[in-house]
Amino acid sequence: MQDEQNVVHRARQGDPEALTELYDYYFDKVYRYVSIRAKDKIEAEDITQEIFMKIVTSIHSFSWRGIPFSAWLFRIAHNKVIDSMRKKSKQPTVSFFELPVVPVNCTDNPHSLVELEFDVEQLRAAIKQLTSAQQEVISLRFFAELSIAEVARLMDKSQGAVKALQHSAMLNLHRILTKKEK
Amino acid sequence: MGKIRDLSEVLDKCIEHLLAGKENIDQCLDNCPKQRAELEPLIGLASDIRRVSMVMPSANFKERTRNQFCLALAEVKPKTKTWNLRYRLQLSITIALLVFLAFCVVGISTYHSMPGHLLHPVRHTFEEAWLIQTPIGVSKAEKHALLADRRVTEIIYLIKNGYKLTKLEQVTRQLYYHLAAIESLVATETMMIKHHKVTVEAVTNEDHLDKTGLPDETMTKEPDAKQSELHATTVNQRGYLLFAAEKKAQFLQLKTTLKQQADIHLIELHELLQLIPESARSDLLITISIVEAGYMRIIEDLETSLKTNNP
Repeated sequence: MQDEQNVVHRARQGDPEALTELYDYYFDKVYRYVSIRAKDKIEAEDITQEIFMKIVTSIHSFSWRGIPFSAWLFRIAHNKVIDSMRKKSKQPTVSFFELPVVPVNCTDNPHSLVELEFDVEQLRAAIKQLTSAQQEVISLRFFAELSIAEVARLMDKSQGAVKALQHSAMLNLHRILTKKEK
Repeated sequence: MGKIRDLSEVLDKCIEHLLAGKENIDQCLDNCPKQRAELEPLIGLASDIRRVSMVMPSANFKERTRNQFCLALAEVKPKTKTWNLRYRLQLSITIALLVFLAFCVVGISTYHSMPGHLLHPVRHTFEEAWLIQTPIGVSKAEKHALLADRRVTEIIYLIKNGYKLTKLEQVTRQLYYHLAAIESLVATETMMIKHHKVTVEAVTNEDHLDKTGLPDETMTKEPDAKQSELHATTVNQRGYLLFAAEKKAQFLQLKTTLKQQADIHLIELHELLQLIPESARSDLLITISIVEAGYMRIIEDLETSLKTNNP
């Protein structure tokens, strides 16, 4: 996003255009981040909605002080996901298999769509077996598309520590997924 | 350890390039031939995760959430403004009340402060300012009388609370200053009444001489001019009478106030004489003599003035 600081400043003043700009820029990233951590698609949608409602009501409390806006936003997202995981929902879960997940550049290829859906479920199951810190790094790096620096700020760790976490997470994921394939 | 760190760095660089679409798997691996064997499965996995992560929300959900977001924006904005205004108003009122309360507390504490208290010098400063802004006259004498009364109260407080001689002397000096000021103001006012009286009497006598038939310029004046001069004389006499009556009332009031003060204070001070140790008696006796002599002198002056300048 061009001149994010200015957009965030305007959003803090209550400028609806700036808030909408932030919404458009971050919506997909937040949804992807939540979708890999959530129990199912319905929960992912609910959490995503809650996150953006929370942003509307608390954007005025955000101040730069060296923390990027993305770190603040995904901290909210992380807390919402954790809250949601704590609540034991009685509703039956709806798998990502059963709902139309639309992957980028794959809308015209039904075979690719089926394969991807399988991959998402498999990956979600594998990610669940990682430590919470490793889960967080993978979600933030690949799904929220944050840089190492942003992830480090968000997790309150050094960039080296985040790189090491990412490495160990990849090794573990590879081990889990390879084992499953066998 | 160093090898793992290097591998973490190289892996991250490859992931960064893959995510940004700058390189594909082969390009990444070609750039780091030494770690190729270890990196290959991880880069492949990263590429798979990248592909899988491209999960997009349904258009329906996106649209629905966007509408809710816009609605929330419309609802929250005026609410925030109202809250801000209400908050600011409440804050302003609270600050104003606190400032007022602080003033009241300091004011009351200052008013009741006694020699040796922290706020006592502040009280003196206020008293000085109060006196300065009062014009010379009986009203100023009344203010000095109030302050003299206050000084006697302070003397009694000091004696009851194990006074320091320097403090007692200081307050007694201040009492003497107030009593002397009252005396001086009464003398000034008396002089003014006398001067007014003499002036009016002189004018009246001149008129009287004219009426006896002695040669005078006024004899040659027109009857209208003469009438006008007579009218002026009457006005002067009435003015003096009003002035003298007003001063008499003020003097009477001042005399009553001072007499009451003197009576009460002398009783209080004499009672104290019975309570304090022998060593402190001489100091108190000096104070009593100053109070007694000061008040009596002023009361006598006032009585003399009332008798001689009775309109």
